[in-house]
Amino acid sequence: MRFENVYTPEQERAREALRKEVRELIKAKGKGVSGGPVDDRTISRDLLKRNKEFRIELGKKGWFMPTMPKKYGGAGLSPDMASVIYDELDVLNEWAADGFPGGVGPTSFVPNDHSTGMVGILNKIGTEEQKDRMLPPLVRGELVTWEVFTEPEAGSDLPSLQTTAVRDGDEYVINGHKMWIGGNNAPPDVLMTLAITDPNAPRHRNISVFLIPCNIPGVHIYPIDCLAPPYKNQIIFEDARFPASCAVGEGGDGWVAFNTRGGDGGREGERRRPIDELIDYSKETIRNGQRLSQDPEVQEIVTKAYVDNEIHRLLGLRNRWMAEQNRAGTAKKRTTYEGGQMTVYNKQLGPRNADALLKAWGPVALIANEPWGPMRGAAEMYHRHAIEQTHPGGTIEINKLRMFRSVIGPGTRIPAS
Amino acid sequence: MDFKPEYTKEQEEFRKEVRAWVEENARYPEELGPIPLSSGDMSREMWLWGRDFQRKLGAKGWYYPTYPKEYGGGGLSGDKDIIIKEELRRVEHPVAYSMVSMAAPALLVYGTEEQKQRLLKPMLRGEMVAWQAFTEPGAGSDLASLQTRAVRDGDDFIITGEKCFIGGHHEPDVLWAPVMTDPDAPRHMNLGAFVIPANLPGISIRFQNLVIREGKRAVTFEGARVSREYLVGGETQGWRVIQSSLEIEHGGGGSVLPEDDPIVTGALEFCKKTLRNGVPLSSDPAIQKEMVDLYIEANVHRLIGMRNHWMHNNNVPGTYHGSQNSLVGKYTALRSAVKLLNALGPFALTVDPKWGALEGKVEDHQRHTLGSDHRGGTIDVQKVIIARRIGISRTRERAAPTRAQAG
Amino acid sequence: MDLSLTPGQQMLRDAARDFLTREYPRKVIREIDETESGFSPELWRQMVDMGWVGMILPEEYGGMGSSFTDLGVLYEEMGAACLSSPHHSSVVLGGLTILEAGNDKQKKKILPSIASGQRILAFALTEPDYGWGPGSVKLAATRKNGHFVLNGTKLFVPDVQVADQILVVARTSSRGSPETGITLFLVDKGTAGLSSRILEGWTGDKLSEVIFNNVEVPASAVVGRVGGGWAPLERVLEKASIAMCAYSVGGMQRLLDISVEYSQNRIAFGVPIGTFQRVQDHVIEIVNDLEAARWTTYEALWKLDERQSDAPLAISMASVIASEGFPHSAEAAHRVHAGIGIDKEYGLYLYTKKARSLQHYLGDPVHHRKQVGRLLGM
Repeated sequence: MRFENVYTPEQERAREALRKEVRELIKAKGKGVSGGPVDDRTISRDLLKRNKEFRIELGKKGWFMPTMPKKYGGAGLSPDMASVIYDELDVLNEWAADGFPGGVGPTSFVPNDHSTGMVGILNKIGTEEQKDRMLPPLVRGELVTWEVFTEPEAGSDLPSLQTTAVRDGDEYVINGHKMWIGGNNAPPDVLMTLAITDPNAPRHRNISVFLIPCNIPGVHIYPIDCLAPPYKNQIIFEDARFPASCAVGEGGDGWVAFNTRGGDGGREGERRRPIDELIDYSKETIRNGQRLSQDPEVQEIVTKAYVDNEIHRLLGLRNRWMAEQNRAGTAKKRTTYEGGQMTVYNKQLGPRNADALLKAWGPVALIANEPWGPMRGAAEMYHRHAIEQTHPGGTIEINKLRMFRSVIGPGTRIPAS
Repeated sequence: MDFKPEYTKEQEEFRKEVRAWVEENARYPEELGPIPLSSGDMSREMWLWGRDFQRKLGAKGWYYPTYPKEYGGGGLSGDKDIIIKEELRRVEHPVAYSMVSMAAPALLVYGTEEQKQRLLKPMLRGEMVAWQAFTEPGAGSDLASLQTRAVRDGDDFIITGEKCFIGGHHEPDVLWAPVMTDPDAPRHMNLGAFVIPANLPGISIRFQNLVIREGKRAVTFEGARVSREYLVGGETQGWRVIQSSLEIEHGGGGSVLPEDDPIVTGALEFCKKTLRNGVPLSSDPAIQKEMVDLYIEANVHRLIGMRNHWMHNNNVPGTYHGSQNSLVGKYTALRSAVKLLNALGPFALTVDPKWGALEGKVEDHQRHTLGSDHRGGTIDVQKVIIARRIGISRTRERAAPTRAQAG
Repeated sequence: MDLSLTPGQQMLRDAARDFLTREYPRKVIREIDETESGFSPELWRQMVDMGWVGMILPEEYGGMGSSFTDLGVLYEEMGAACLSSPHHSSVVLGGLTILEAGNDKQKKKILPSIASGQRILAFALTEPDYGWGPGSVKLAATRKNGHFVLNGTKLFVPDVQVADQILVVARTSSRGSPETGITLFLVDKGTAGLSSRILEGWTGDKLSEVIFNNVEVPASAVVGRVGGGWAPLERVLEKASIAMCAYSVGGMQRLLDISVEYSQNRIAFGVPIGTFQRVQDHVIEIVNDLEAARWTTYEALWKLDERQSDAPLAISMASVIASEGFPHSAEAAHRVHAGIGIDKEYGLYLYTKKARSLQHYLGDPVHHRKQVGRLLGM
């Protein structure tokens, strides 16, 4: 076993060259394209514009989604090479530096779940023509996509969704109500929407996927007042018409498409994490004449949190390694529960970390700004964020169910006696 | 609110009376040998002494103090029940006197007057040892799927099947058992509840060698013939009848636990007295935390039990309360084992007279608590019951009738 | 033994519950929470009218001489509604401290106006060197020409924004053990050199930073004996802690109620989500946290009312359980509610942030565990 990558001198040179190139781009065009307030509702239009421009600069080099094939606008790099780009871009990802997993934040440059999810779905069910037409602008970061799945009465039980898209000549007419949509990378250009196209087909086979432009009449977006960024929206489709060419796949394959989502989570192990902040702040803060970290209780909290986060990092590393093995066709073990396990662990870890921050530091962890709020106030945000992150993409309960099903084997049912 | 059980002068007088009686009658004769840590290791002589003591207690009406006098109970208040239990706890004796029969609450609610006189009375008077024989090899948490059969033959039933994880020590007088009377009837409507004399031909009892060393037995019925007069409730009413037993087993009657739980207090003292590297164990903040939590959790369990005891004796209707008492007790027991191990280290794992913590009581506790997860219904089953009683489950149910409702 | 409420307590509970359910649903609580001061003068007036404000103070000072169990019953209802008011700062901490430590003149002058709600006190103990023990009190009070001059910072002080006066725990001497040099001062908020600002964040009540920059107060501002402030204060902190435990019990009860309701009504996969055992587990965790907190709290209240010597042990025990149980229950409620739980309009978050603040208010679980350990002779 080897828990680090070892590169040949040739690989080292390639990595160094790429690193230099990325740094140059950031130096030349990356000024004032990120940062801003953590609260994405107060972000300025101007910053959003500069942010989008830089994203397109990245896209031109294929670096927005560097592992995608070149013909679709990527750079055709291995995940390992791509990590060189991600690591350099981290300097721009203010939030990530403060411990937010997954490159969230309005000005993040790591492709987020929404855009990678769309690309995954296109890869899975898209026709060659659709992929050629739809993938490049997404992969090049030109279009911001929101996943438009959940509805008021269809959350964990997504197949119960009620939104309908009815074919009318060369167009579809869509009607319905969607909840908990979008958030970061506001505002969107296209909406990747699940809707029922065949009400007579059986459950799981009646749903289709559409990539709907945002700027058509009958699409209304209303923000929901919720706890933490990324802030969510409701979308009402009211007789909105869009061209039939927006359909992805062959129709009726929406549930299959939805189930291709769920990343391997391998990236997150690499980032600066709240645990590092927890350790640093505890070491640096003097209270009542001694370092917080000298308090045995604080020590216990911090060490427990450290272990939890190390497990998280190692699960991520395992998944990343397995993903690379799969990609190279050298995998000896079939991937089953590992993705779900990472999701469940990740969702549980957020609230546990928040709890550790509060217990170790006291009420300062609830204060939103300096001088009293640690991590420039991000600790406070982390509390709200962690709660919010437990349900997008499926609650912990649903992910446990998925995990259990993949442990006992896909499609297996435990027979009733 | 008033959390103190004894406050009137009359009750203090009663306490004196009980104490004097206990001093005279509950002293365990040392010539019968030292009392073993695990009740399953109790000798037959010791057990017989305990049976005799139980009878004496029953004759005073103190074996089931709050049950009606006319059936052999004491007809006393909940507070006096507490006084009796507290006084009995002051002396050490080998029989867990609280090993009361779970058949009694069901008999009180569903028994005929004749059955109450013939069966309930001797039970309440400590003359008849009844084992609860519910669990089967194929029916634990899912008790309703039990397979032991009772086939009608004239005025008798012929019983065939197997029960396990039952009973206490040595031999019972009767077995309190639900068995299938009608295999064609739907689930929950196919059982009858019997008080079966244990000495019938066709009944054999076998010792089960368990980690918890509680002396649990397995019982095999091979065509045991039992008269109809031992059937409690209707022929297919058994599921309902045994709910009254389960309600009590799950803690609906409450419990009166001491504020100074012997294991907790003992371990606290151990930590204060044991020097390691020159300082008492209790000065280590990590050990302190374990011990404080041990103390707190024991007290939470004590209060939940007290709540139920008060509700049960004051006819306050409950819902999830019985199973919550059981659930909290299970968690407390399981976690206390972990805490004791964390705090005391390997000293918690040996009965060695020189090194075992609290003369080996902690080791026994480590093993005994392993049984907590399933004893009287698993943690998960208790949760199912709580959810039903809160009203969030597929099925909803109310607490089964017990003494309070039998009036 | 009698674990029921007295008829008077039942009336108090029913009246409080009816009133708060009717007038202060989560929507209104949220509106108050979102104002700058987080304070509703209307609510405060209503609380006065119902006799809640003076309740705990003796009749001779305009109160009702209620028992602590009575107070617990009221706090449970206030917690269920997630109510924010200066009641705890002004009456429980402020009023009881004056009652314990103040001289006759102070009691006669101050307590009736606290009881009538006309005067509101804030209570300032904690500092940047955070902690609830006497050792964490650093704010210096030095004598000058028969006056005292206060210098230092108080942090996380609730209700400063609506208070007329602040009861300040200060240090007049740093010799000897930490308790010996502690003196209590009642300081007008408008005194020169005193400034405060509300801290932004996810706090249950508005918490402030209060800076004392050469704040000069007369000797008559001292409450109790110079250097003798800690002993009476410790007794008040115990009572204040157990009142907040009762508040948490109420909060947990409401978390249970809304989680049960949501589990019964939210349909997924064609059935109410309460039928899923994984959802039931969360609800059951709340029931267990709730009942553990309720009975330890009420036993401690009873011991306090009965003046039993082990009341402090019971109070610290209840504090550990309630201050851990409330946030834990809030988290379980979020797991039951998923998406709707983060919708501010639904208002579950009010309880979540209140629970997190309360975890540290008047001493965190670590602080109270240490107290339990000490009282058990460890």
